[in-house]
Amino acid sequence: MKTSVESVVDKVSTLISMPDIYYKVDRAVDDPTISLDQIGSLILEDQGLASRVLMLANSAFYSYPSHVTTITKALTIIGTKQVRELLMATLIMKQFNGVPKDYLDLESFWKHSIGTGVAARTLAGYMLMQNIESYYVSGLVHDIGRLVLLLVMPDKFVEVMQYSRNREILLTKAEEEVLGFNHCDIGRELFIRWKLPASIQTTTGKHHRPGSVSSYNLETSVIHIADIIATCMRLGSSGETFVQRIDYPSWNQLKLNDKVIPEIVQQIEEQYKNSLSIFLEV
Amino acid sequence: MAILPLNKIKVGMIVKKDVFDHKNRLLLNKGVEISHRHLRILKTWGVNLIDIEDSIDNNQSPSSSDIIDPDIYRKARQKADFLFKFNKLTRPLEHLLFNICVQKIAEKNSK
Repeated sequence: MKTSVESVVDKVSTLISMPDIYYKVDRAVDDPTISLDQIGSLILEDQGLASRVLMLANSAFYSYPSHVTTITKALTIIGTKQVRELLMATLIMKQFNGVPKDYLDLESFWKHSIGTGVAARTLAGYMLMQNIESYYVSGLVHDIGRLVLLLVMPDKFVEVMQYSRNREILLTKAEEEVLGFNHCDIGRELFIRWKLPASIQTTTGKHHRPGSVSSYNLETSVIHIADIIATCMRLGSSGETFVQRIDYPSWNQLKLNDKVIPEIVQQIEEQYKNSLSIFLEV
Repeated sequence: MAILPLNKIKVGMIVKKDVFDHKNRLLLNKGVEISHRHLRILKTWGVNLIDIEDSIDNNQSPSSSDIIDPDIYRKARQKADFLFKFNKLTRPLEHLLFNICVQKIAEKNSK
């Protein structure tokens, strides 16, 4: 029997799910009658999450002059929508703690994810986009489909890795040739089932084919370029060896001058180190 | 004139052009001397490039290939050639990223 994207996601849904706290915070943030304090108490239900939010508020990302000690204060500094998104990324990452470690260097996988997130955030900053945090989060989870494959079918995952190595082809192409679909399809389907924002479904699903989207074009283009920059900078690895082909229409969409790339790379380097300590419990 | 990235902006530099955020709200007036508070505001609003008055040395683009061992550099180039096999290296962006890749591989291997 041939496996399909749906059957893979069906199977993973029996193993992991998005925790309720995300949906509670999601509703609370959109509800004008709910106060910051109330959102804060929701987050405090999960001590681990609460301390992560505080670490973030105290990080160099925001360089707030005094130490932030309460969640409510953190919410005012980072913003409620931004906290909701960071919460989403943290919870998604947490769901995959139990992935078998024998087939893929997980630390390196998350380093690539964080690198892509930081690169996306930096690019979005240069582009003067609103809510640069959403770009960060899209970058953090863009390759999540690989971890789903690893959870559901570790043997196939290894087969795909070997196939790509032996033929010296892109891992994404190897996925398509061996499985009939790729990690982007899986990630997108998972996020649809989890009812996560449409933008993140698209960036996750299309970051290797940014030219094929009809909405969230810019977001998808940013993740495509950020992924490539993180790969070039050798910030971890998602299992992919090669630098995927740059989609020039996507790059042009960003309306950035080539000359800013060295500066962007330098900023990514600095923020990446900071971000590692927040998201990787070392 | 010197347009500098935020991480090169230091306290005491003079802003040459008005600085706006993404919603076109004025953050800093031209002529203002940068303070610690200004740096924080710029960071919070994700402003990355600021036009600063003259007399600033902005020749700080990273090029550390000359301080890297030539042999390590050569090997790093070979590796990067392999990693970039799906890119034709005909455009400036590809060249920039390729060079960054060489540099990063070389840095890792010199450690």
